[in-house]
Amino acid sequence: MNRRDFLKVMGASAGATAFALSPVGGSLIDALAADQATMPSVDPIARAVNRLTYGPTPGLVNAVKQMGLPAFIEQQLAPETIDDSAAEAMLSGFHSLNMTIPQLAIQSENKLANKVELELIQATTLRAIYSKRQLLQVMTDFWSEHFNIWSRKDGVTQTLTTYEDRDVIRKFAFGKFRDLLGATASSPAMLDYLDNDRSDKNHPNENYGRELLELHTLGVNGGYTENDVQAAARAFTGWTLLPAHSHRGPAAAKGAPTATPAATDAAGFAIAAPDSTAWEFTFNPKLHDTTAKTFMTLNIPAGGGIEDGQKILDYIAVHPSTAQHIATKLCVRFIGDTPSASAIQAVQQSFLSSGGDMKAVLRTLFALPDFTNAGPKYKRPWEYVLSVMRALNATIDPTKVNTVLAVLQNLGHVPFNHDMANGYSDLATDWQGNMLTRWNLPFNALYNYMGGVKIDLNGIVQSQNIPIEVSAVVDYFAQHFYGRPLTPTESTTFNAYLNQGGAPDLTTKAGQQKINDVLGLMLAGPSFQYR
Amino acid sequence: MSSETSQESLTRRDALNRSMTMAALAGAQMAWPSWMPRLAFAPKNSAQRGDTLVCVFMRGAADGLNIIVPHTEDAYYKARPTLAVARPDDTTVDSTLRALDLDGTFGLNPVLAPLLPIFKSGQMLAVHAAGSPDPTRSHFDAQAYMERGTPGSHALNNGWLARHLNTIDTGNSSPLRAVGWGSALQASLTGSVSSVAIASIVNYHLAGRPDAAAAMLSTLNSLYGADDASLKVASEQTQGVLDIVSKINVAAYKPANGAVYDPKNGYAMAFMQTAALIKADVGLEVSAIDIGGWDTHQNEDVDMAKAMGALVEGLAAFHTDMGDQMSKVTVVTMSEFGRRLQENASKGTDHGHGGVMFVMGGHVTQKPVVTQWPTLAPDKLVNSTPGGGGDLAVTIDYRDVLAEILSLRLNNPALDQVFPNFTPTPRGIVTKS
Repeated sequence: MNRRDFLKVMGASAGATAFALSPVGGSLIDALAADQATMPSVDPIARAVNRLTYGPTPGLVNAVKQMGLPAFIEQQLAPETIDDSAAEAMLSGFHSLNMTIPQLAIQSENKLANKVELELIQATTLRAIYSKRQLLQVMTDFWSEHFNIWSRKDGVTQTLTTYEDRDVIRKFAFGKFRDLLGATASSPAMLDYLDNDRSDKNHPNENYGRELLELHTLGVNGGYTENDVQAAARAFTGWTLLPAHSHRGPAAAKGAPTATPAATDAAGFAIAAPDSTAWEFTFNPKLHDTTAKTFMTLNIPAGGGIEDGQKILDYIAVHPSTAQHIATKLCVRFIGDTPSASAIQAVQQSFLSSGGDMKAVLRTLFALPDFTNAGPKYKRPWEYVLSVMRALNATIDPTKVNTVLAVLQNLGHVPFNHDMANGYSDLATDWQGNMLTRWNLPFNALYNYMGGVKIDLNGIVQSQNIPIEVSAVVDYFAQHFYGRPLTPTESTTFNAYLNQGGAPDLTTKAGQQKINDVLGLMLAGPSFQYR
Repeated sequence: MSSETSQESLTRRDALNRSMTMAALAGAQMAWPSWMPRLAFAPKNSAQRGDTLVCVFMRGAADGLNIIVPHTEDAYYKARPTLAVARPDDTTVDSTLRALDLDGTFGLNPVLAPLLPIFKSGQMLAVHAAGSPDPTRSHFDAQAYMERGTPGSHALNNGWLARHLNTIDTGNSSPLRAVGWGSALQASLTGSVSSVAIASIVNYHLAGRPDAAAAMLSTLNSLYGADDASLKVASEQTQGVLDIVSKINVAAYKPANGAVYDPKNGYAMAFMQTAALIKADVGLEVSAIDIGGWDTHQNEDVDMAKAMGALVEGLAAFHTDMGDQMSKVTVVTMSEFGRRLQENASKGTDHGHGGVMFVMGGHVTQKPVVTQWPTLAPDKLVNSTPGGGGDLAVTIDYRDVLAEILSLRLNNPALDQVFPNFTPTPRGIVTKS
């Protein structure tokens, strides 16, 4: 923090205000017993904002209260109505975000795949922190993990995940599930990731067919059999990628030595030929299995082409098992790790009655009492890191966002970097391990130890019109971070810290450091690990 | 920068040194995928604590044929006109450039000369034509398979070392049963609560003001003590590691027996810190170390000498430093796959298949090279191309080597859980005592 500025703010009150923090006293047991009786309730708007966004920024909860939660939800469901130019301006240096498939393909051929992949990860992180279209970012993350692609698999996924993110996931995040499903099925990155580009009528590869049913739609207990997996695999034979520039097939292009380097643009990226179709989706009838297929109760006659796969997508996209599968995952994401059967059923019904219209489904979910009254949900590393950055209103230099990514890497939650098709886990038990990296993030941020990341506590205090006294500052941040006042235990604990070696004197560096420490402790403590 | 989270920038990292995904703490354990084993709940097997296992991953696909040279194979010399390591008796080249004969058939690359005395003393061997049976040539895929211990499958969401730790109860409750050296935990260790990633012991502490750390930790302890059971356990584990680490003065660590670790060599420093933890007797059972720089598509003679130099420096210094205590240590190395027999047009080698593993310790078999040598005859190579050439076959599954070490040296009786759907073949690599 900017200690000098903070000193000015805090110092103004220091002479006049006795630090009327409650005295340290009583045992922890007493405090715990007291907590049971006097646990302050969480502001329901703050709770909702914590789930609809990556965490409140200073002033956001009040803004939502002013417009009303239903209006905020409707606004978030119409992201095109929200001016997001400030966040998008931060991404102006990431040239690969707008590339076509052939443009992305040539980057891979010219050893620029790492750069493309990193730009997508950086942009995703910046958008998650700064975009005003927060629910779009949250749902993009949800679908991105649902239709997981491991960007590190090879040169195709390293580059074409950028297309997948932009023109598949983000484009249909609030759309009809069938449209999203169809876009993923013909997405070159997905075809490569799940090996469908290596599948043909003589050697059908079942990887995509299996994950399509088990993970993308019906769910593992969704009522299909091994025969259905094989039928799906045969139906999707021929869904593949057009060859790369050098007229080598995509399989050969991966990892193989490259041809002559292409010309590069000002940003250092390779320039594709304007008529290139490298790695675009194609249906190749020569590879397609045209024999008759039986998929669940669906009969696909012999002699079909691309419509064989489309018929299966039509069938499973509105299947009750798919509705239940998606409903369960949405409830786990927005309500908690063990959502009630009634909540899942309500969302499932909404999915079925709306034909998989995601806006309708989300409206149903957000209107449920289970959502409004949801208990604490453990933040995964992605959500924890973003919520710290947002809570402290961090200013991040877009060219140095790797400082934040390094924390995510340490915690094992870099976007697009989960190798298994099931995506990162959404359950607390899979993420509760060593806490040191979580603990250290707020201290490193508050003490401005993170290169390219700046925290201005003074700015928050001023912009939020916080009375210039320590107890008011502590109270404000408690409400801001936790959505409620401090519990008696927290109050006792933080006061003990503040009063060690005497009451804090904010006119001194030591006193300011104590406040800084306490804000860090609030964020490192258990309550901020939940949303 | 004074803390674990003040990392070097991502762009400085060789993507192959540590795939970002290696950090993945967990795969999804959603309510529905019933195929996922719940090993965490399987009963642990009581086992006497065995050796400390140091597991070295040579990331980038190390060229086994130039590390342990098959110097009686004419095919090797024909396929590598510029890169082949000269025969031990080839007087046409300087003696420092000749392979160091191990058993009349195989020779050590001369850059690895500091390892020769360890081979001669019977505390080190090489396993040749070893590797993963899966044919993938993707670094990331192959590393993920190898570290999971499940070639060809991404189904398990934890690593083979984690499953080892999770299936045995050695009576060791240390929060530091396993350390992965680096900014993120190796995939082989993910899924074990008693594993922790440490980039550097000296920097492993609470961020913020050093003089306030004790009070801040005490405050966190109070806050987490009031929380639900699961976070309280995680907090206690973290505090336990911090407590142990704070008592080890690595800065003042004096290697024994005149061993010298180069402080500029990060790999050697991981070995030194491993030695420090073993000697401090803090309950270390597994240490995972990554060594990069093996993806030698071009100028292999220069680039692999660097990688081998870094490796040998760490291994040899560690062996010297540990001295008699090597009797309680086993070191094993692996790489995701080997490299092609034929050198390419850029004085390098491309992705291949079979490779080399090293095993070092007080109880390795008295035999310098263990192999079911497939030979380099054209019909014995795999992935052969029409124009001739191909890859060394894999005749010893890398899991055979690991399973034997886990069974005989770390007393794990549950190999079927560590390596599911795999029956290891005894290879005579280590002895029970």
